[in-house]
Parts: sequence; C-alpha cells; structure tokens
Amino acid sequence: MSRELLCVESLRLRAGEGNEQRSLVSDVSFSVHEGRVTTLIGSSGSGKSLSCLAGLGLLPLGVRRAGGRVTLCGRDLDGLSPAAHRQMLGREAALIMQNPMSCFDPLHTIGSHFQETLAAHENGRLDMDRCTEVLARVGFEQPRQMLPLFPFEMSGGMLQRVMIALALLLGARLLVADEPTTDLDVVSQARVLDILDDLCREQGLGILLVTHDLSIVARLAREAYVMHAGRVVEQGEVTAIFESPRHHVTRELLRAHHDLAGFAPVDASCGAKT
Amino acid sequence: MSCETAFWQRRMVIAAAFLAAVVLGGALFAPLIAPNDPLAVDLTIRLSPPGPGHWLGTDHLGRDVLSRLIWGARASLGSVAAILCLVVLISTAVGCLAGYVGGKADAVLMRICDVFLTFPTFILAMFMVGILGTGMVNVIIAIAMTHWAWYARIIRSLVLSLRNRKYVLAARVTGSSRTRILGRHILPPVSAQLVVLATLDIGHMMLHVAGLSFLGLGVQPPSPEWGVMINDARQYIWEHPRLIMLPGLMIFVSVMAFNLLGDALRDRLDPHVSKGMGA
Repeated sequence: MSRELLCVESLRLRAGEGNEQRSLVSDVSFSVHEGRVTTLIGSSGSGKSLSCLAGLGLLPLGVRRAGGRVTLCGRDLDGLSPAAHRQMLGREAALIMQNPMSCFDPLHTIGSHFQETLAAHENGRLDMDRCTEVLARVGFEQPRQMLPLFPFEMSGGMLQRVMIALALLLGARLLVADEPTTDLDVVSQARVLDILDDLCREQGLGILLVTHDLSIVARLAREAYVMHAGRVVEQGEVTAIFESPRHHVTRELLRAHHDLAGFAPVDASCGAKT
Repeated sequence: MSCETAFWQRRMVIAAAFLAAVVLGGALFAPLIAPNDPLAVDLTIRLSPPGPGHWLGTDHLGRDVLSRLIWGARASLGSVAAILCLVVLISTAVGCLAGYVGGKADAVLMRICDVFLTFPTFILAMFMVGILGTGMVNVIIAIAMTHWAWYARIIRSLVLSLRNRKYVLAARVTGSSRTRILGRHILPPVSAQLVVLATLDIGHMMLHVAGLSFLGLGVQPPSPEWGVMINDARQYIWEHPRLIMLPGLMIFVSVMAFNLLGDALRDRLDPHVSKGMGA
C-alpha cells in the first residue's frame, strides 16, 4: 500500500460565533495516497475548496474546524506548532489554485516569487539551476527567460504552469489542485492536466484534485468523493461511480455533464491505471 | 478630461511643485541662505521698511524678517516631517496589527481609534499641549497623537482588503511567515496610498503647528516660526501690515502648494480616481 499523504477524518467546519453559527462542512472524510489522483467532485458551494484548505490547515478568517482530525504527511495538524506547520507547507504539501492571474503578486517578478518560496525554507538565495529545472519540468522551453517577467506579461496557462513549478520547487509530495483548469483555454487545460498526470505517474506525487468537470475526473482520477451541501454523499472508484452512480446528486451531475458534453463511456484504462 | 483643463492642471502642478521646492529648499539650507541671524536683535533699526541689507525690513525688535521667514520654513516643515513620521509609524503598526491579526486585537485597537476620532483634532491637540506643556516637541507629540487614528483606520481597511488576495494565500501555502507576507505583499501597496495621504496632510499639519504656535502653545517666541511671527506682529497690524502679511503669505503659499501636489499625486497613484493628469 502506498504512503498516505493526507488523511481527513470526520471533518466539521463552522463559520460565525454564538447563535449565528452556520455549519459549512460536516462529517467529511477522505484520504490522498502517493501516486494517485483523488478528486473531490461537486457543484459550487458544496464545500470542496474549504475541505482542501482545511486539509492544509489554511482556513480563511472566520471559518474554524469544529471537529475531526487532519493528518498531513503523517503528522496531526492539531499537535503542530505554527512554525512546524509552516515548515511542512511548501516542503511537504503545495496548493495550486484556480484563476492563476490573481495568484501572483503584480509587484513581483516570477523570479522574485521563486526566491520568496526558497526564502521561506532555505537561505533565500535565488538558485537559478533549480528554478530553471522545475520550470523545464512543466514544459517551459526557455525557463531562464521566464524569471524576469512580471505576472501580467504572461498568459493564464503559463502562470498556471509556473504555479505548478513553484509547488515542485521544494519537492512537495502532496499537491492540492483546486480547480486548476478553470479559466484556462482548452489547449492550456490539456497541458496542465498532462503535467499533473505525469507528476502522479512518473514521480509518484499524491494529488488531491478539486473539480466540477467530470471529464477531468474520468481522465485523471482513480478515486472520487462526491460532495453536496457540505457532506460526502458518495465515494469510491471513479469507474464504479460513473457506471453505477448510487446517489441522486451524482446521477444529476453525470446527467448534466452528458447533456452538456455528450455521452462518452468511461474508458476503464484511463483512470484506473496504477 | 479635455486637453485644455489637463494643460492647466499640469501647469498648476508644476507651479505648486516649484513653490514647494522653494519652501523645502529654504528649510533645508536655512543657515546658508538666510542673509542675517534670525535672532539678532537691533533696536536701532526696529520696524524699518524693506531696503538693502534687510530686503523685507525688520520687525519690532529689529530682527531681519527675511531671515526669520526662511528659518520659519525650517521650523514648520521640520515639525511636520516629525509629525508625519510619528503618525505613519504608529498608524502602520496599529493598522497592520488590527487588519492582519484581527480578532480581539482588532476590536480593542479600533475602539481606541474611535475614541480619538470623536474629538475635534485642534481642540484635542490644545488639550494635550495643556497637559504636556508648551514647546515644539510637545506640539509634535500632541498633533501626532490626534491624527494617527485616521491613518490607522485607512491602513487597516487596506490591509483587510489585501490579506484576502489569492497571492497572499499562495504565499502562505509556500510556508512564508506572517512578517514576510506583510513586508512583501501587504506593505508595498499600503505605502503607495500612505504617501498620497501624507502629502495631502502636510498643509493641514502646517496649519496646526502654526496655529498652536500663534496661540503661544508651540514654538516659543524668540525662535523664528510663522505662527509666532504673526502673533508678534499683531500689535503692528495697522502701522506695519507687512509684518503679519508676509508670514501669512508663506503659510498660505506652502499649504496650497503641498495640497496641490498631494492632489496631483493622488490622481497619479490612485487607480480609482479618473485617468489622472493630462498624460
């Protein structure tokens, strides 16, 4: 059995104080293993992104974990000091977000973002060789020329790949990808998905993929969790879920997808390869 | 914005920058420029009209008015610079703490701000000088203490809007510490706004300093300061109006120059205001 990178058990998230409390996520459990893509599927507002952020211990202000356990790379987040937690972020786990244009500080160059990531863990010197190496891994042919560019000088697809490169820079084993292909054109989407697929197969990274696009799930993932209104309503192997969905939310999602994208039978060789 | 108004605005800004530079130059190089010692009393030539030797005449103690005006710029701008430094330091610390840490710290700090915001600044400053005692340093402290709350509020709201940017989350995910994120991603955009705010407030602060000095609470009489000079000249307002008009003119011109500069800077730096000066 491959190593477990992230384990979330009966997670409960709440917002607000006192009588104003709202439950955002309740009783959500999932796990991510090395060399596998695990997906969280669901419509907007079903608690996918929050569950991911909770998995990294980076909840937004006002949202707190009311229950459950999160084990990130074998360590319980509850028992972790803020400094130790910071050390794990970047080194062990990294996050790739949607809408890459807004994920880079417009005042800093790409090289400066790399330097920042290095500085958070090491001496902060910009190690050119390592930067160009990871940039080459995500498909940049002239990586050295990317470093002096500002984020607004690059396209969304390029920035998304830079974000993946940043995630790889410190050798993180767990990639959390929160809708990594939203807002990208189809060519860039395919490219980003190829890279993620490669990382998972070749390098054995564990990927937690959040998406509402079922064709991406069919293409990449092996395990899926379907979320609805803050709960996991169905989970299991992707092929099984797609072939015989048990919960009506899953059936709705599949039907909507087929209406939109046309029916394509799930290719068993695609997702379930190990 | 039509071409013509843009042109006039640009002219105004250039004129304002020139005047501000003259005042600033006077303040910086006062010992070199001033033709006479601003404190040298010579009762034999008291209240003499403008002429060679004393280009703007002398005051009731025979001191050279021009030299006193130049040294006055130094007192005025020097104290304003000190006030702004203090205000920016205090308010940045408070604003960042309240906006970035949030929670209880935010609630407590903002209530303290509210208390300061309820008083009219000039009255509160007078009250503080009353407690601390008169003098330049106390005026600086009093004015800084009565103005930081405005800045702190604005900085807090800027920090609040910046801390939810996705690149801040991205920086957190890479393991950057709070201080690093503050320094790299939050303070630079805040400081751009702060420069505009501070420049717009230079004129306002100058009036405060001159006002307190005029009332005898600030800079003390022998030393040259515009407010003090106006106060000294009160008795001679009919016989020698120039003694009251010259420092008044200096205050008027420099406050106007810095306000115009601040406006121009805001137009340039603030993306929310119209497209900016005829660029």
